[in-house]
Amino acid sequence: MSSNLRIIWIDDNPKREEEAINLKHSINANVEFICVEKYNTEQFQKKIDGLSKPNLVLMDHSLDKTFSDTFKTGSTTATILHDKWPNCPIVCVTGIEPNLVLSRQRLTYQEVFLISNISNKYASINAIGEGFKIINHNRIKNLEDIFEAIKAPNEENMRLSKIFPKELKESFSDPSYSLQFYKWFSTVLYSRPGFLYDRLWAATILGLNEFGFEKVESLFVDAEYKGIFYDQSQKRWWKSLLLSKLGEIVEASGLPWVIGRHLPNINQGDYSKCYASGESYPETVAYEDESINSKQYSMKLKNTISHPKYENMLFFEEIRIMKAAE
Amino acid sequence: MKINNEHPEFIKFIKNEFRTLEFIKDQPCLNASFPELNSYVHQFYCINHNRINKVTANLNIDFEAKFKLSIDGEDRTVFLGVNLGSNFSHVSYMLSFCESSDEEDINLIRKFHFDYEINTGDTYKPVYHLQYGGKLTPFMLESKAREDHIYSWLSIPRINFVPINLALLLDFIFIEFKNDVTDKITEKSEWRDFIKMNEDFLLKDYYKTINGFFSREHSSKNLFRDFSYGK
Repeated sequence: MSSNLRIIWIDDNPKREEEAINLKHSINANVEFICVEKYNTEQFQKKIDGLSKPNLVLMDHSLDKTFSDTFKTGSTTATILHDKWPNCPIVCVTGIEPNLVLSRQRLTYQEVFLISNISNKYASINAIGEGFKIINHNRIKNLEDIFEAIKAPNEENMRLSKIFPKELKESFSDPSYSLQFYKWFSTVLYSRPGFLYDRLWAATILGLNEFGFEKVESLFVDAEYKGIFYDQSQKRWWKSLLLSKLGEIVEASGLPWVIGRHLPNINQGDYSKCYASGESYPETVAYEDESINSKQYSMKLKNTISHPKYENMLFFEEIRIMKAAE
Repeated sequence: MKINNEHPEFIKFIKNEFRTLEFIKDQPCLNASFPELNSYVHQFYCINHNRINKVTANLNIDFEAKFKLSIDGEDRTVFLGVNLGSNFSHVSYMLSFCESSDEEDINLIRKFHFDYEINTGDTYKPVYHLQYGGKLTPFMLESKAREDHIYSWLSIPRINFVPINLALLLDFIFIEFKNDVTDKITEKSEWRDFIKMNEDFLLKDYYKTINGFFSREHSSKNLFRDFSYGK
């Protein structure tokens, strides 16, 4: 299991081979670049038939430089590849904004990354590849295997077992189980604040701004998420371990955003402030508005409302947006 | 014989409070209906559960939560607090609620304390008592709560009451401010078992002690009133 990742990059643009080489050097993986420019259907199919299963496929979304009507898009090719390798992750690389890729087509990929930004995604690609390498080798057979894979703190097992989707509890033997698991992991557990917090949430719950959190981050290294699909470029912290560590370091009792300010080397400049009102002790993180690219900030609950586009989820934080000015 | 003869030891009492916090934090129905309460409980549990593993008589508990509850047909902000001093130096459970759920205008309209006082010697107050009013807590002050109509300077009367802990207080809140949501919680067999366990833990021996008092010691020289005031 310690061998290098094996990645296949399928693209119709020969110039992207350079990107493939950069990726190879950056994450120390075996990256095979397959340029399918001017391939007809038969050549394309023959090429696919001759491939052995990699740990990860990177797929160009638009394959319009092929001469094949069947393999015209990456999503169609991904569907065919998933028939051949039902648990192989396929990450789309595209020249168009990921959120403009049709949702039906997005479903065939595990992730969609913008090619112009691909060097910032090397760590994520590595995390996905390494994660799938592990779970495709050691098949998940029950909930305990999941807790172990994500290295969940024991005290969270009960809550995790209650939020884990029923359909995932009933399909452990499905050949594509790892793909289904990844979808839940990446779109729910890792992205929705609740069990895991990103940097802004972690700072806010400790009563600090992100600069202040950076000063004490090393104290919370044990709270950092280090389970499967651990992505260095998008760090997360177990909320329960952050708080438990806070309780060990600080003797004071009370709300976390109050006692967090007793952490060593923290001064007033490190305190979090509500983005909307400037008040101290913001208790939540909220979007500035409803737009897709809206930024998130620490805010007082009273200055926010429920985000209309998000439903509440058991044991996860409510997603909120800033109240409109009256 | 004293009315609190059989009151659980401090360490057992604290451990039981942590079992309650653990139970609440993992309850899906409580999270779905009272996410804020569940979140405060989860936070408090996580910060303190390692402390409880090395629990000593010196441990203090200072827990506060703020959540919304439908009272008399309208959503209102409720403050719930537990303040336990080392070795029962002070024990106070607090329930307050506001005129509305408006976070911009937190106006307290009721504030109760359920206290246990082991040192009643000079002050002559019931060992277990209910008190109306009392000072604003730091959390209430931080939340900019007002108490225009409570007149917290007046701390009497203290009404003789029964021993209370977090589980029994929550059950009391859900039963007193009963609605479809709280019914769903309190009618669950898991909740009833949990409350039964707490009644066994805190009330069973309390009533046995009272029964013993009436059977053997009750007289015009030794009233139940004196007994309940710690004599």
